[in-house]
Formats: sequence, structure tokens, C-alpha cells
Amino acid sequence: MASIKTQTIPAWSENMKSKLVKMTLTIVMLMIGVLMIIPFLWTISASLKQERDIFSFPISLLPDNPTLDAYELVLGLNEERALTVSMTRAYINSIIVVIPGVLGPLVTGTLAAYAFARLRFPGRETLFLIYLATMIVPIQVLIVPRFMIANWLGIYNTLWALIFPNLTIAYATFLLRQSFMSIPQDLIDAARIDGASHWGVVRHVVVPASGPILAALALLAFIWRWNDFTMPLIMITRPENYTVPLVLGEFIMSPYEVRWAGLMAGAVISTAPLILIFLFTQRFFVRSMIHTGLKGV
Amino acid sequence: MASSVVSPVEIPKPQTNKGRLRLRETLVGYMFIAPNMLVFAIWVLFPVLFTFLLSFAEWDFITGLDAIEFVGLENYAELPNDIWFVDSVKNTFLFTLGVVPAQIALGLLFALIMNNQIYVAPAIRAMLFMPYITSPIAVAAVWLSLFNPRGGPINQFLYQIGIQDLPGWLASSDWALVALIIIGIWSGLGYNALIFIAGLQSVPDELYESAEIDGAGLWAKFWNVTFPMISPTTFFLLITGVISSFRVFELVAVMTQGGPGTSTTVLAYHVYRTGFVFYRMGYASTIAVALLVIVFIFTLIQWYLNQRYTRFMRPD
Repeated sequence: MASIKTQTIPAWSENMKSKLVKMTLTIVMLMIGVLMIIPFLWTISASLKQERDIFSFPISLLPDNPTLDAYELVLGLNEERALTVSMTRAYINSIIVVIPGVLGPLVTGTLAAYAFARLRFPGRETLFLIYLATMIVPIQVLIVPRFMIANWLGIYNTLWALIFPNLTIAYATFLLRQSFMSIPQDLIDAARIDGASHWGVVRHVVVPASGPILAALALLAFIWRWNDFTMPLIMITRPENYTVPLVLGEFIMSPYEVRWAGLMAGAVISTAPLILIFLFTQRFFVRSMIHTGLKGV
Repeated sequence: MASSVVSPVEIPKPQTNKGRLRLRETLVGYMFIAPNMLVFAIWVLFPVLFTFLLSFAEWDFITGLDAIEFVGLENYAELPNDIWFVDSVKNTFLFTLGVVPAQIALGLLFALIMNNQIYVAPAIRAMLFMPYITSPIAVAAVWLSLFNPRGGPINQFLYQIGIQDLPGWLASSDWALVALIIIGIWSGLGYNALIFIAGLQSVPDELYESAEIDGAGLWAKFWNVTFPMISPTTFFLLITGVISSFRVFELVAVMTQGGPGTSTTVLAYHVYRTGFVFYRMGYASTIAVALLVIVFIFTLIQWYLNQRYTRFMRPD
């Protein structure tokens, strides 16, 4: 904003003053930012410390004798001290659960959302309403019956019990439907005139046009499945089938095996994938969160 | 090219083909929603209904289906007399009251500051947001060590600034819930700030300019322009904040197991413990229904408030 005045130019120009303000605010926010991540810094530091140094007085952020012992232990690489279940095993289990947990909702969600958005069939509105209504239901309302069903189906204590229920995410379907409703009808008509079936429309029109929302939902589903604790807690009691959050929870509640350093190492290992994904895809990540409006419970 | 799904003539002739097209569409519709609905019916719909049913019964699951004993409204009558239930409602409310307003206020404050095009904004945003994407269990692990009453960084810090009577944090029935609230605020702050930043950016500059012309100062601009314009965002965060606070579970499950005493027993945890530690599945279902009702009521209230007090469409 050029303000050309013919009077005397003041000592502090507008520009400099606003730069000063910006700098001050930046410093303030930087301090707040650092405050927010200090817990993480502390955790990383503690995971590299010797066990006896963690709570030493006075407290220090830098390890005196840094060591990777805790990581070795937690990853199951320590031959002398074998854990009931190692992070490595848990990682494998989590990956097995996460992949269908992302692909499933995307596929079933896209199909169903297209139907709800673009096809007409009796009962469509009612079904969708029921669908919506269950979105506010807290997971606790579902844990007892799900536990029963898993037992009846014979999948209790197996990873299937964590895969099947999560092949569909109501919230994802809801968002996809909203998104599909705004695809221009002409595109769809054009495809239909060319002889495309509904499945063809989905493949060649809807999916290509929905890249961002599909990517955002994939991320959301990944976070939800990776961090899920409640359902695995209910469904899995056999340690070799523990997922990452469950193993970490075990470390917390029975700390004699890994002690504090191990717990800290476990926390770092379990969070690392998400934090790394976040740091490398920040703008996309943030936009997805805002787009989908929800993190995950 | 032309698949066999569509009838031969695309342009619908007056009677016959329209009917067939419609039938086709209906069939495809059902086929497309089938996988989704199947999973939904088995793992969501049926469980909700079954929980309602079970809430009227006593059952420990282990002894088999025939052991289900329907007791009518007995379970519901037990709720007000159950000290754990009453405390869990109280604690859930306290937790929500402690976390949500603070999250929103601080989130808004930070968003307002960051809205001034400060430097290194992406880095700062990343720092604010990191707590939010961390899994609750990892958060629990991290803060468990921070809050360690003997030698943990927080108490060491408090000691060094002169506080003699150090709080027992998770080991103290007075402080445990406070600790959880602090963790809750820390976790959700970044998300609130982020959403507010997005909301603030959609406030048109002309409004600020005309306010300035009218002589409005900083506070007046905020109160008369900013605040009303972001009210949809605020309501959104209020609703999602309250609903997710009501569901707090993991933190309690791994950090305090509801204790000491009943001081951190929250509704979601009480459901779990009643069903899977004490094996009273029927009563657990009753508590779950109570939780659902409370969440539902709040969703309705805030939806209603949103309709009445928000004048603009949500800036999606």
C-alpha cells in the first residue's frame, strides 16, 4: 500500500513497523511452538538415555551417555532379554490390518457413495439417514456386540477381527457422497451416451475427478487404523497378534519388561511413521484434515 | 465398448425402455451399496440394536447365550445408585468443560496471531499440529513420564521455581483429572488453531477496511467482524470438540485405569470396565446407551444453536 505523502517522512515507516510487529509475533509463536513439541523432544531424548539417567536431578534434555539399547530391546533385537511381544511383530500386524483398512473403505465407499449420490432406488434416502445416524454413535456402544460377533464368527483373537469391521467407514462414505454430488452431470451424461455402464462411469469419470478427496480419505483411514486402540484391546488378547498401539499400551501398563527407556523408545517407534508422513506431506496433510473435518477418535 | 449392462437403445422410448432402465438403475444401486451395507449391517447396525436389547439384561457372556437374563428396567434403575456411573458422568463433563473451551480459546488466539502473515508459518503450524496426529497411546506414554511425580520434568521444573507442595498428578485423586485435561488441551489445540486459520482466511478484507473507516480499534474489529464471521467455524469446533471429549477412553485406559479412586473414571471407560473387566455385559450396555443418549442430546442442542445463531453457510 503506497502512501505517498508530501509531508516529512516519519522516522519509522509503516513498512518497518509492520515488519517489527511480524517479527515479534513470529518469535512469540515460535516459543509457543517449541513449548508444544517439548514433550516430543523429551521423549526422544529419554529414549536415548541410560535408564538411570532419565529422571536424574537436575533434569537435562541431552543424554549424557546416549545409547540405542532401548531401541534394541523394544524391537526384539536383544537376544538376552526377549519380550513377550516386540515392536517389530506389532508393526507387521499393524500393517496387515491397515492395508485393507484403507483400501476397503475407499472401494466400498466409492461404490456406495456413487449409488447414494447419483442413482435412484427405493429406500435410498431412508438407508442413508440410518447410515448418518450411526455416525455419532460412540464406539463403546459397539464393543460388546462386536466382541460377541467376533466370537461367533470364530475370528476372535485374530487379525480378521480387526479387518472385517473396518472395510467400511460410514464417515468416509458420507464425505464421498457429498463430493460426488458436485460432479457435473454433463460429464456423467457424456460417458453414459458413450455407452458406459454405471461401473464405467465410476471408473472413468467419478474416480479421476475425485483425486483429492480420495487421497484425503486414504490418509484419514490410515491414521484411524494405525492408531486404533479400543477395538484391538477388545478383540486381541494374544500378544503375538498385538498391533502397535496395543504393544505400547502393554509397555505402559506392565513396565517391568521395558522400563522407562524402552517405553520412550516404543513411543518414538510407534509415532514415527505418522510424524514422518506428516512432515513430508504437510500441505496435503493439513488440507486433508480440514477437508475431511475430522481426525479420528 | 458398449457394455451389456445398458439396454440397446440409449434414448428412452416412451414406455418400455424407461421401465427397464429404471429397474437396471435400481439393481445397480443395490449392488453398489451391498458391500458397504453388508459390513455396516453386521458390524454397526446390528451391534447398536443388540446393545439396546442387552441393556435390559444381565449377562456375562462366558456361560453362553442361554444365560441372558432379561431384567427389564432394573439396569437403568441401578444407574443413579451406581457411584461409579454418577462419578463417570461428572468426570466426563468436567473433562469436557476443562478441555473444549480452552482448546477453542487458545486455538483462536494462535490463529489470530498467525493470521498476520508471520514468518516461518508452516514450521510453526507443524509444531502446533504434531500433538494432534500422535496416537493417544503414544501421547499417554510421553506424558506419563513427564508427569512422573518423583523426578519427572514437570515436577522438577515446579520444584525449581519454588513450589514445595508438588502435585501427585496421576497418583493423586485431586490432580489426576487435571493432568488428563492438560493433555487433552495440548492434543487438540493445533487442530483448533488450524481450522480457525482456515476460517479466518475466508473473512473478506472489505469488512475489516470498512470497520477501520468507521474508526474501529483492534478489539472492536474482532468483536464485530471477526467473531461473527467465524461463528460457523466456532460452532463446528465446539460440536466436534464436545463429542470427542465425551468419548475419551485411551488416555484413561492406559494411564489411570479410572483411578485413583473414581477420580478419572469417565463414561467410555466405565462401559469398558463393566463389560470386559467385570463381565457384566448387560449393565455395560446400559451405560453405553446412557453415553449414547448424552452424546445425542448434545449433538441436538448444538445443532439447534447452530441453526439459530449462525447466519452464514459454512465456508467449506
